[in-house]
Formats: sequence, structure tokens, C-alpha cells
Amino acid sequence: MIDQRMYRETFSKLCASEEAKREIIERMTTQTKTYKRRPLRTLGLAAAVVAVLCVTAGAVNAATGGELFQRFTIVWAGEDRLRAVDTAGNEVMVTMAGSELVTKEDGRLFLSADGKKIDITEAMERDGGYHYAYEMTVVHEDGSEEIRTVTIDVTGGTDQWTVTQDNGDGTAYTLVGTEDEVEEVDIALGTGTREGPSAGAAAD
Amino acid sequence: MTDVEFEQAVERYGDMVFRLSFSYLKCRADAEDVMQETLLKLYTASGPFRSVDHERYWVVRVAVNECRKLLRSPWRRRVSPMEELQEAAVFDAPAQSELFQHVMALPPRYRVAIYLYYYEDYPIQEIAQIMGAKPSTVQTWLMRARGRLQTILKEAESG
Repeated sequence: MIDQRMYRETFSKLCASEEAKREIIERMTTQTKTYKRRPLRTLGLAAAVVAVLCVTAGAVNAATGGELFQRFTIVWAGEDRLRAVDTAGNEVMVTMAGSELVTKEDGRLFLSADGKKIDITEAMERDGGYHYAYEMTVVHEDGSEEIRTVTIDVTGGTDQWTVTQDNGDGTAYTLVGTEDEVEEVDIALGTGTREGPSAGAAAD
Repeated sequence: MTDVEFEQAVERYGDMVFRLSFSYLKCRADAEDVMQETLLKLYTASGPFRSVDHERYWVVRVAVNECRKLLRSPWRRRVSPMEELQEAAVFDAPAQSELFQHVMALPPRYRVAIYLYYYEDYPIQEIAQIMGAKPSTVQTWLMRARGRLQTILKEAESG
């Protein structure tokens, strides 16, 4: 049995920092009423991406047509896109998959994609999987547009599932999820597409 | 919600949401993010709440959903270093520190169920609704959590 008094005394010591509380008050009481994640967290995210990209540097190199991309920096280009730029100014654009593709709510499994929330419970129980595809318009830095087909495959059951998203640009993303936790994440850059004004430099 | 009401809400719910989120995520930065997201949603919530209890329940439910969203994020730092866990709070006694470590070693859903049951005094039925599970499942989580803690404490005593 858990000693409730001791549990309460122990966990009452756990408090949010005054800085975090003050920050949200300041943000919400300013004129803009806008909210963004704290810089510290953004840096953490960028660091994680750098780590991922370092591990898959070979794939980035393949994406650049044989040019070496051994040293590069990361520049975020929107919430789900980032740019790896090497010392010569060559770059690779990478589209990241959404962070919350499949969720389980009240015993039902939902796929969130393309601005829709689809109940895939019955399909998963009946077929052991669900396939969804949609077209996404990518606007390049030079203003040109490209239509890409994003495909999402969910396999497994309603207790544990695997989501594979192909972003249509040579990047793929696999995530194994359960009711509460992401158990495994695998991001493969594959043959990432080069974009942007300086992309041609890598191929030349 | 006025700015003054929002400040009061931050005082009223800030630590509660943080404790709940930390219990779920085991990471101070993530827990503070969830606290901020949850309070942001409270600030922009459209309708008035029926009662203080209703508002509190809404806040808890949103916080749990935010934690689950974060857990699914591919970029989330998934493992917090042990040092961060140890520095999460300053405890009065070694027994508190020990209990904290043992509880935080349990699976996430057990930790949240324990927190809502023992700290926030929510009945099992409501915990089940908050966590999107059956009441019998929550009961099982609590039972297993108690069992694991008992085993760990016994091992610690005999060791």
C-alpha cells in the first residue's frame, strides 16, 4: 500500500519554476497574445535533429549526388521542414513527418493527417492496417511550387501500431506507438531531394 | 478570461499541471512546456465552466492529452538523465527521495494514475475518463503499481 501522506509530502516538493509561470503570464498578457515555445526547447529540438542527421550523414551524402556533406548546419524552414547547409553553401531540404499521426482515444484509433482526423479502428481490426495518401504542395524558396504525394501506412493492431510515412521527397519516417508511449522512432533520409537556390551547386 | 483571472489560474493550476506532467514525462522542460500549453488553452477556452471542479477536471484532462501528444513526438528527448530526475526537487528526508525515485521508475500510465488517485483524490471512474481507459484497467494499473513498489521496497530493505 502506498502511504498517501508521504506520497503527497514528497510530490508537493515538485514545483514549476517561477520563471516558467511568469513567462506564460507575460506572454498572455502582452498585446500580441501569441505564444511560442521557449528558445531553450527549440535549441534542444535542433540539437536532436543534428544528432539524427549526423547518424544518417551517409544518406545526406547520397541525396547530394555524391558531394560530401560531412559538415553541415541545420536551419529550420518552418515547423516541419529543415535545411542542412554545408560549408560551401550547398543544402538539403528535409520534410519532417507530423508528430502526432496516430493516437488512441477512448479505445479508438485515430489517424490525423492532411487536416483530417480519421477513425481507423475498424479498418485496423478488420484488415490489420490502413493506407492513406494525400497530395501536399511544397513552396520552394524561389517561389516555385511542387506537388508531392505523401503516403501513410499504419499496420499492427489497436494496442500497438507502426506508422510509416513517406513524404514523397525521398524521406521516410517510421514510428512504433502504443497507447501511451512512442517505443521506437526511425527516421531515414533516404534520397532526400535538394531544393532551393543553392541546391544546384552540389550537383555541379 | 481576463488577465487577472489568468494570473490566478496560473497560481491555482501551474504546480498541479507541472506535477502531473512531470509524473508522466519525467522531464522538467517538457513538463513546463505542457504546463504552458495547458494554461494557454485554458486562457483561450471558449465557454464558461460549470464549477471550479469542472474547470479543474478540464485542465487535468487537457494536460494529460498534451503529455500524450508530447510522448508521441519524434523529437522529444525520450530519456531524461538520472541526474535531472534527482535534481527535480529538494526533499526533506531520504525516504522521500527514495519514494520519488521508485515511483518515477514505474511505467508512465502507472505514475499518472497514482498521482491522480493519491495526490488529486480523483476517483477511479474519473481517472479512467481522464486517461481514456476503462475503470477496471485503471484499477489494474494501481494494483500493479502498488505491487511493484512493495517489491522494490522489500528488496531495498533486505539489500
